[in-house]
Amino acid sequence: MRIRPTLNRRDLLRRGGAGLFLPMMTPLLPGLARAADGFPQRFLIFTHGQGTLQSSMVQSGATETAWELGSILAPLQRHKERLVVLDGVHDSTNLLDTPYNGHTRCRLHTLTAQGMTWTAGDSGVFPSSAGGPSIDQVVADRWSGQTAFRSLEHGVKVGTLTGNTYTWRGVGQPALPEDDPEVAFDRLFADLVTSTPEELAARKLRRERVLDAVQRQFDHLRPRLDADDRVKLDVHQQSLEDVRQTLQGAALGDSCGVPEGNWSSPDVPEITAAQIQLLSMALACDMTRVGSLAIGGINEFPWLDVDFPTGWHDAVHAGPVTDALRTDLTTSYAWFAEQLAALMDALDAIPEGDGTLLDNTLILYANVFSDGSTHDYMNKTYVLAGGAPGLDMNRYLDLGGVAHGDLHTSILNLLGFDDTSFGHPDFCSGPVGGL
Amino acid sequence: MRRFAPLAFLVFAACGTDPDTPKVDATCEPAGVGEAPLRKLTRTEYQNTVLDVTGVAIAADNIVQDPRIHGFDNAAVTVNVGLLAADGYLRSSETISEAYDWRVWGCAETDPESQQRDCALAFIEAWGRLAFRRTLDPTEVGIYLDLYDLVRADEGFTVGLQAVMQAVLQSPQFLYRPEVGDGQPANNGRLRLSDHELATRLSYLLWESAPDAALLDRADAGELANPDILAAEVDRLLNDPRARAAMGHFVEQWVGTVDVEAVTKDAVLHPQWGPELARDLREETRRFAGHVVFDGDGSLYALLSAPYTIANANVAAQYGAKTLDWTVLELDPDKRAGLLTHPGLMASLAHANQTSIVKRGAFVRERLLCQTLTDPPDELDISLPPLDDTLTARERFARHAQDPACSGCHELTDPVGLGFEHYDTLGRWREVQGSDLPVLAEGAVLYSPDGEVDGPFYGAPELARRLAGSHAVQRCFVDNTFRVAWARDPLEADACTLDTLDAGMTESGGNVQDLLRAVATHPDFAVRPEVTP
Repeated sequence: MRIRPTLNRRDLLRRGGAGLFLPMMTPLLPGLARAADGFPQRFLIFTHGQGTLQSSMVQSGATETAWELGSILAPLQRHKERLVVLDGVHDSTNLLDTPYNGHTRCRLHTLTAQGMTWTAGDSGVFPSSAGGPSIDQVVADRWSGQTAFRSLEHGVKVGTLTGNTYTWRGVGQPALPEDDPEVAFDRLFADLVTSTPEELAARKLRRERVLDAVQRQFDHLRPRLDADDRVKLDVHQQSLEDVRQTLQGAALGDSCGVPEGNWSSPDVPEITAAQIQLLSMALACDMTRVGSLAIGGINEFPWLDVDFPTGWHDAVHAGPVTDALRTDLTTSYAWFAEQLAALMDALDAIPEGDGTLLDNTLILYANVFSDGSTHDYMNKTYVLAGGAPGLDMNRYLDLGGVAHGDLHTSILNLLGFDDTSFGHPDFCSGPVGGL
Repeated sequence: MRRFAPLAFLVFAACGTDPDTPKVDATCEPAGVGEAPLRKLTRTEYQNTVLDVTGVAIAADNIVQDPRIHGFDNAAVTVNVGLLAADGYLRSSETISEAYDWRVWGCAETDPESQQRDCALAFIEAWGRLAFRRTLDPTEVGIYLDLYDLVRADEGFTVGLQAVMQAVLQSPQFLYRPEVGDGQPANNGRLRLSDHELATRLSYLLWESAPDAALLDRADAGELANPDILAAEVDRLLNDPRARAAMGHFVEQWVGTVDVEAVTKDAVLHPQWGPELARDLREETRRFAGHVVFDGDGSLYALLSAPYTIANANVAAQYGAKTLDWTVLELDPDKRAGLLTHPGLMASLAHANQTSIVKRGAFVRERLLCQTLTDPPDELDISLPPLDDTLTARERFARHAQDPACSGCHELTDPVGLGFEHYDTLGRWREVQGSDLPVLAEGAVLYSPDGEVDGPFYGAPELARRLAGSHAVQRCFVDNTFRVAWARDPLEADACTLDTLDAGMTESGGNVQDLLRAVATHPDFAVRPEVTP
């Protein structure tokens, strides 16, 4: 069902910048303090498939402090002071699953730093899961209970295939992205725009009672099933508790409101813009502190001036064999950097204390390949954007060949955790220096 | 990667073939009872079931799309209800319960509380039976009655009943298909399903929906153990329009046209391609499958070779013909033959701006012959050669045949795919390509299972008729039917079941309805392995 926003326009106060409608609403639910002076730290993943052209990420001759963005990252110029570009990272756990096809493999390795798990079928074995949680979900677990959603995964044409999923709650548990902005809007905001506070409270109570009855039915059925089947029910029951947690809704601070936008376009640029809008407002409303934006399933760029006669995938595989193809590939890769810049714009338009939401958000930009033409996962470039306590921005670092588990360990450290390892222990030697 | 005998014919990494293709043995002894992993309703099954048990038609936008394994959406191995799915079930249940016509239960908001409670109990017991596909046990009735009492006290009778419906529609007994057996001890590890569990298997196999009241009545009476009654019920289900819809869905998943609406074409070259045409081409395949199986001679042979289709004006235009809405359109048997030459399929198996001999050849290998192809190695440049108006596809892809790094696999796909060159990027017939080059559709099959369909051919219709009459394709169809019926890949323990079904299909002249009958009445379809909690 589609629920259209019915907020009275008078209730909406337009603020400049992000083009968001920001209604002045009082906190609707007791027990949730509006965010005050100590704004929470947030963590986001930005990712997409296919690859990049390593040599065009940063201009050659870069040093830690004297560096310039290359043509692919150029759209991020306006945010350069809030970037740390990291070269020389190997997604080395891929070795565990070589020579399996690169797209799925790299997707399941990049954020988890674990080998995949496999299931037998009649055409041989196939990868059934990532081998562990992705870094965003590790953080989400540790921060859970503080917000309505432990994390929010937003996607653009990612789909629900296991092999297409970047974010994982654990083995056998893909953290599927919501690809449909309309459904995402309903989940996040529809209750707010269609209900009075009294109706909201009544609905929350009713839903809790319904969920209680559902949980009782699970408990009733569970003992009669096979151990393998009970695992499925366990996952489902955990998800029901996640749903229950979402009932606490938003912590409606000054910057929180119901976004208004185009949620139903079938086109990739519009879907991406909508997801950016929804994700940034969910953060502003403190509905979650962990999230991701994954862009997948693209083979054509009709909105760009590029010529890929048989599609982007083929062109990526061909590599920059001609100047024209190099230009077009660069244009396509740069479009993703532009989306990251747009996400940063949206976060930067939301004031928090003396700064903005962007200051309190660490974004990890992770591509799955360093070179899509050969499915190469060595010497990758990762980008940290936004901010985290103790992280000096506007820097370029060549890490000289560290494993991605090491980098993820450092990211956990930046977020305030004292981990000494991440992912598969054989491929992690502790946090990287110099961050 | 271990292979077992008769299920499929693995084409090994080096793209050689398995020389030891076993023969069908219909007198086999079952090796054991195959697994029965817990299934959840697919999105389609959920939609159908909701419609059948509530009368409410939903768009199901917020129900998570099932990932497809080997093309099919119901593999139990993919069952995983995360937050998005659970949240979708909650919101969907509210939509349904608000759209439901509550007057049918004979109580009103103004009736005395005790009378309302009787109505609530009647609803829980009678409607709950439809939703759970069996009678609720006292614990279950108690859980829902408690919920009703709580909500009614605050929000009244109707909202109380709505809450009950919401809870039922989110309960595992509705969303999943738990099978715990008929209460008797297992025999040799085989547990006989209860009549209601069997009824549920039957209706989801044949309808992709819940059993209706009549089938539940049979189960209540314990009559499904009677082979005559079981056979009569299977026939009754097959004669229902829901069976036709389910067959259309099976076939479109088998050949892959289920995804044709997501296919994009070069907008400059093919401005006529769009959502409406794609939707109609998808519908063509569904309707054709239903027509052949339920109105035509019912054979797999006809599915793969019939010189007609079911078309509306949009579809007919792709054939260069005109027709009324969704009627039989006779086709030239030299140009068209069954599913293989459907424009929706040919368009799916093409690039945005050119045909694909590789995709079309791989389709025949994987979907029709159940052979497994390996992905190209990471380091291989698999970009297409540039478009060239002066070359045929055979010439443009000559390297696939000449370069040993390519030919090991491409000799399996390309010679087959070349036979489809008369169908352009949108699946329309063409005599010329590029700058007036005549289309040559000389193809060849190598390394088919047992070499059964090996040899040169000209054009897809000839290939289609050869495939249609082959045992290899029938066996592959049986494997895929098994996949859907059991919601998992066929494995070693199932070899005997497959052999029996295969032999039965041969006896019936390759009749698809008879194959479904054979599955539905097969002894293995009524058992599951012992439950080991």
